[in-house]
Amino acid sequence: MNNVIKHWVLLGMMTTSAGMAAVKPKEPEKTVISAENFTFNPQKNIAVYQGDVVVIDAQMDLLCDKLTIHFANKDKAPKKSALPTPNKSGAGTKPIESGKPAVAPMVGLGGNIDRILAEGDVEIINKKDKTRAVGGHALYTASTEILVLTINPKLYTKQGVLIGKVIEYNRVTGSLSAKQAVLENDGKPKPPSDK
Amino acid sequence: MAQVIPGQGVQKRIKFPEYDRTKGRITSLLTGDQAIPQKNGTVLVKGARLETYKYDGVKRKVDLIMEAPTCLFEFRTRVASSSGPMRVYRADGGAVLEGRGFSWRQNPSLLVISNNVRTMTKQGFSLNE
Repeated sequence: MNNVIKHWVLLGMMTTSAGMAAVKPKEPEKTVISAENFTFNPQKNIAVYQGDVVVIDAQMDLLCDKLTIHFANKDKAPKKSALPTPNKSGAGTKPIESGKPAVAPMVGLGGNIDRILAEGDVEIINKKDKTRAVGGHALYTASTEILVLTINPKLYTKQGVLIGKVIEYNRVTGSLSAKQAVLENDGKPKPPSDK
Repeated sequence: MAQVIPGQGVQKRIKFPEYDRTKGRITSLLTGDQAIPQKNGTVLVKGARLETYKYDGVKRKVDLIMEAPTCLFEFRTRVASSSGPMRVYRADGGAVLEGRGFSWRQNPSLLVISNNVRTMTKQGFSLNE
């Protein structure tokens, strides 16, 4: 179990930008969001995408039924915590350079995101290692860079399926935690199904 | 540019500003190449462009820009809407949003895009940078 988590941490679900940035940092990475409809309330700083929402990002793809983006209020914008960021190997850390973001903004939407809420058949696919996480609800908080997946969350990796009550991923440290976690098919062949 | 008065004929290069009356400053501006008054109190605006503004102290900044080949503007509700294609983008080019069918209400501000929404973005939609 620990090995799986360590392995997954090393791969890093959404930390590819830190390593890849050294190779080709040129153009800002675009994010494309498509949906059936969209509502934007500038006064409340909320944008809502509904109906077959698909987010195509450089690091990951996200699918859900409803995506709510809460933008940070200019006067109340959260300050980023000074957490260390993983280096290329993901094994160590390096200090954050002042004035530069440690990791690319979540789904490329920019540094003014407060939080993003994905609801309904949430699916997150890491483009680098093809790991896939599913759940009924995902909440990303920009100030902490933590993504919390709830409502029957599952994480599909090469080692098996991690099932937990809550699966939490820290984009800055690359650490993954799962509450009441169970790992299925840990390198073992599937038992024959009962008929 | 000319202000359109219902009952008038076709007007060219029109503009419909919206103001925050408590602060006495402009909050949005709908412009068009042509405005054709309709029977139901609306105006069909061709070559429509709507800018919304935000303020940094007294300094005015263009926030969002909406463009549509045509839209209907209702004087009473101050709502601009269309069932056709539209495009929204940030003034700084950070994000572009396209779709089909929209409604923009000024007060309280609300933008709804009804169909086939596609956003290409490098940053968010508010001026919080």
